[in-house]
Amino acid sequence: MIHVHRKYRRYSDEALMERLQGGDASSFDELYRRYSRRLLHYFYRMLNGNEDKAQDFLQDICLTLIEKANMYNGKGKFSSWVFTIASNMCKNEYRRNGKRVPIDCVNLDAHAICPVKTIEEAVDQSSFQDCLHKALYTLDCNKKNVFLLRFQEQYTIKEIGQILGCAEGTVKSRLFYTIRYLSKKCHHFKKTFEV
Amino acid sequence: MAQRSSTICSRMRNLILEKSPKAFTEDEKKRLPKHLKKCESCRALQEEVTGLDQAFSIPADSPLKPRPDIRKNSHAYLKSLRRSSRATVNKRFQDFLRIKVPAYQAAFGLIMLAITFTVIHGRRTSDAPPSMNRKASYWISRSAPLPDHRLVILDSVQTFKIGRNMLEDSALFGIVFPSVTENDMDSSTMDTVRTDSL
Repeated sequence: MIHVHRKYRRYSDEALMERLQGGDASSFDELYRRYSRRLLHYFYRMLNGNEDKAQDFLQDICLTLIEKANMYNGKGKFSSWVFTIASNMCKNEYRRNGKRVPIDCVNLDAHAICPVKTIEEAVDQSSFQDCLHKALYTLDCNKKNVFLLRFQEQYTIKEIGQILGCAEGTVKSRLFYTIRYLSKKCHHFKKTFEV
Repeated sequence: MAQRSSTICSRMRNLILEKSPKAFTEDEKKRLPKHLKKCESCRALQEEVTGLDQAFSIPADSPLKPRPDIRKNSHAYLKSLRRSSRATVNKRFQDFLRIKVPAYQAAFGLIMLAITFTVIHGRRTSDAPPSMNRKASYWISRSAPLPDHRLVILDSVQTFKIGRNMLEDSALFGIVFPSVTENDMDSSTMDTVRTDSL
C-alpha cells in the first residue's frame, strides 16, 4: 500500500510529472500508484506471461521515467507518453529475441491452446480468458500491442496511432485481424464469445 | 437501400472498434442500440468487443502485483540523481571560482587601493588641525573661505561632547580656534557649543 499525501491525488498526471521534473518524490509515488499495475499487466501480457521479466520491465520504466522526466514536454497526455515508452521497450525485447518472445506453454493448435474437456468447462469464464490470453501470446508484437492498448488500456484508435506512431487505418486493420484471429482460436467458447 | 444500410453498418463497426462504450458521445449512445436491434452482424461484433473488454480489463483482485522493491529502488535512484545534480552544481561553482577568482581578487584589490588612497589623501589635504576629531574636522573643512581670525570659546563643561583631543587642548584656557565661526556650526550642535567672538 502506497501512502501519498491527499493533495497529490487531486493533481493531474501532467501536473505530477511537472513536479517530478523538480525532483518531488511524492509525485513519483502518486504516478506509481496510478500506473504500476496497469504497466505491469501490459508488460505481462506483452511478454507472454513472463512475470519476472514484466517486473524487471516495470523497474526499468520507473527508472526511465525518473531519468528522462525532463524529456516530457507536457504537450501530450502523460499516459500516452508512458505507454509509448512501454511499447518501445517491448518492441526492443522482441527484436532482441528474434520475431517472437518465447512461449513455453502455448501450442499454436487451437485445441492445445484451449484444452476443453467438458461443456461446463467450456463455458467457464476463467478458462475462456485463459484461452484468449494464450491465443494472444501467439500473435506478433504489433498486433498484440494494438490489441492490448485498445482492450486493456481502453485507448481510442486515434490515441493508439499516436502511441505506436502509425496510421489509424493500420491500427484498425490490425485490430480487426486480431479479433478475427482470437474468435477463430477460441471458437469453443461460442456461448461466451459470440462469433 | 442496401448500399445505405451497408454504409451505416461500416460506420457502426468503426464506432464499435474505435473506442470503448465509456468513451461514446451522447449521440453515439443513442444511435448504436437502435442500429444493433436491426443488424445482426453488428450485434455479433458488439458482443465480441464487449467480451474482449471484460476479458482484458485488469481485475481489482489480480494476483499480479508490482514487487515492493521496485518503488524503493526508484526512490533510491531519484535521490542519487538529485545528489549528483547538486554535486554537478557545486563542481561548476568550484570551477568558476578556480578560474575567475584571481582576476576578481586583483580587480577588487585595485579598487580598494584606489579608495584607500583617495580617503587618506583627502584627509591630509583638509585644513583641519591635527588634533581634531572627525566631526570637528568636518565642520572646519566646510568653512572655506575662512574668515579672519576669530576665537571660539567652548564651554569647558560641554567640551567633552565634541571630542577628547579638543578637551585636552582647551581644558585650562577655554578653547581658541582661529578658524571656526558661529556660521560654520550646525544648528543641531549649538546647544553643545557656545561661540563667542573676541
